[in-house]
Amino acid sequence: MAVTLEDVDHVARLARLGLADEERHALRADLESILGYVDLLRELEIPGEGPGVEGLPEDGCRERLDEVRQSQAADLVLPAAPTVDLEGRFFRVPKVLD
Amino acid sequence: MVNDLCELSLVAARDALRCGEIRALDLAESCLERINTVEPEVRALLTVTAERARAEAALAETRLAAGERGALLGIPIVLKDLVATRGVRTTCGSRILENWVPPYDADCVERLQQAGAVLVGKSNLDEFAMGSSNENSAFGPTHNPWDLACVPGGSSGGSAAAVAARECAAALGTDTGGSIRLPASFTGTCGLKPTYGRVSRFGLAAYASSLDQIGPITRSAADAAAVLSVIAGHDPRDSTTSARPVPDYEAALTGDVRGLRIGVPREYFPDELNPAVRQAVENALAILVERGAEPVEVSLPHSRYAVATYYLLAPAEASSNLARYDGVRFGLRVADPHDDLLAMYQRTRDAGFGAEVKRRILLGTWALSSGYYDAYYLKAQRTRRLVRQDFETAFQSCDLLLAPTGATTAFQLGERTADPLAMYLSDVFTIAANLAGIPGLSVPCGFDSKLLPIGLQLLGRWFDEASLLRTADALQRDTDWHLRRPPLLKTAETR
Repeated sequence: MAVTLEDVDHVARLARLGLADEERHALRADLESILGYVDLLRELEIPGEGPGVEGLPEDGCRERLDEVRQSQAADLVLPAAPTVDLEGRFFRVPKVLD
Repeated sequence: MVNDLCELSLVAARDALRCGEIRALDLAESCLERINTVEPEVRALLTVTAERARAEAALAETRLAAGERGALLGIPIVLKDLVATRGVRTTCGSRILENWVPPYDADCVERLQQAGAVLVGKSNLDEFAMGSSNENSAFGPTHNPWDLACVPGGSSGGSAAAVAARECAAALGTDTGGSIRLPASFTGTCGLKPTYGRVSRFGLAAYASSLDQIGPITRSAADAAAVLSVIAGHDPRDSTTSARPVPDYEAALTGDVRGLRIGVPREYFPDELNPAVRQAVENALAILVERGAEPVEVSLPHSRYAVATYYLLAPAEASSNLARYDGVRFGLRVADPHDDLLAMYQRTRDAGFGAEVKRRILLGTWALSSGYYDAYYLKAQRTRRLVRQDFETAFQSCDLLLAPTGATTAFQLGERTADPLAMYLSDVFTIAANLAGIPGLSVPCGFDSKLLPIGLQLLGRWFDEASLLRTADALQRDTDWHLRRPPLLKTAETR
């Protein structure tokens, strides 16, 4: 499968990944090689419908009771933030809206 | 005081601690001493928690003196640095979390603490567990204690190398496509990937959530049984954990494999298999047959599709899981003063992630993107079902499967870094177990002509870790592969 630099730029943008120019070229070649390999799956004719639910544990997922519980308190979480507001109450981010 | 208590296996150390023959503080000091001696060359650990180890060892002594019999009281352990430890930085092998100190413990860490384990360090890994050699760590590779020019395997290479070099009695690793078993194979240790749902992932940085499992890396099957008994069990914070009772895995180690039907899948013994690996694995089978097991030839016809399936599904899940590293709430942020939010995301993720993580994020985003979803992601999901059905069919005629863990022994540092696909194919025998969710174990079964360890892989039915451990333990009663010591240790001692 042919992969172009435009393809790389498109998925990089979807993934919010900035890439240096030389990385774009290297990743284009890597993706082409890996996608060429996974094309192996094309030779499989799979009867039936839908993907099937795989990746679930053998006896299904557990439901838990919907209870009110204490979650991580802000004073534990905010110290790990890159930037907080002056009073230390909120995460601080660049301007989102003009 | 220098001592060699770190040479004791977990079970031997536990027995000696219980009867007061040795002290937990001396055992911890011995491991810390060993760490000081070998770490400059092995580089298995990203963080050494010496003060914490001494405090926990002192606590263990108090508990032992009070007559407590916690399953791992005083046992020095290492945790893969993908597992959150409250107050101890948890890097995931990535620049993006280089200075992250979690405000909470993973479920497995809570259980280990409850059982009295002593944390001596956090181990190196491929960034976010993405790799088969440990060369994708942002902090430099770990070296294989058996040959410092070789990789220890990945992604739990630091955990495996630490156990092989006797820096701890046991370690935890994680296995998404072989990341416990391949390093165990390359370092002559015992590594167990439990059934999907057996061990809670709460507090584990997610890579591919439908595949990730936490498990022990130890020097023997008996040691692995002791650790699994502690970390297994239901956790309301991980809804995929099973409510099935946790068996006493140590009680399963009877040495009796009479009548056990051992399936030998022909797809795992291709013509091009390394002859030394084939020979060692066949020898191990012969020993088990000598003990009364019955070999059965079986087929897993979709094996050849497993790697391709994995390298669509795991990156797809990773591309979603790693979206959380965006520079907003924790970890690295890189931004220019005039950046908008999108530019801040892009700059942070470019600076924070290494090449392999970027490769997999892009691959996964591709597989999930409009126009390609059906041909890649959906097709891979359906192939996964076929891989699983292969195992269901095989387990109708046998009780467990026996195969090599890796197609080769440890390869040289740098040997496969230029070709991502060649690196991916390192996992050709381990990946199917993750796709199917079954448990898998690797134990040493010999050495090649370069004196590098060879791993035997056992694969079991869902939730039948006990049979894997019993079989591996039976093999270890008749062999001493697991007792061999890397030559590095002899050199270190004579200094």
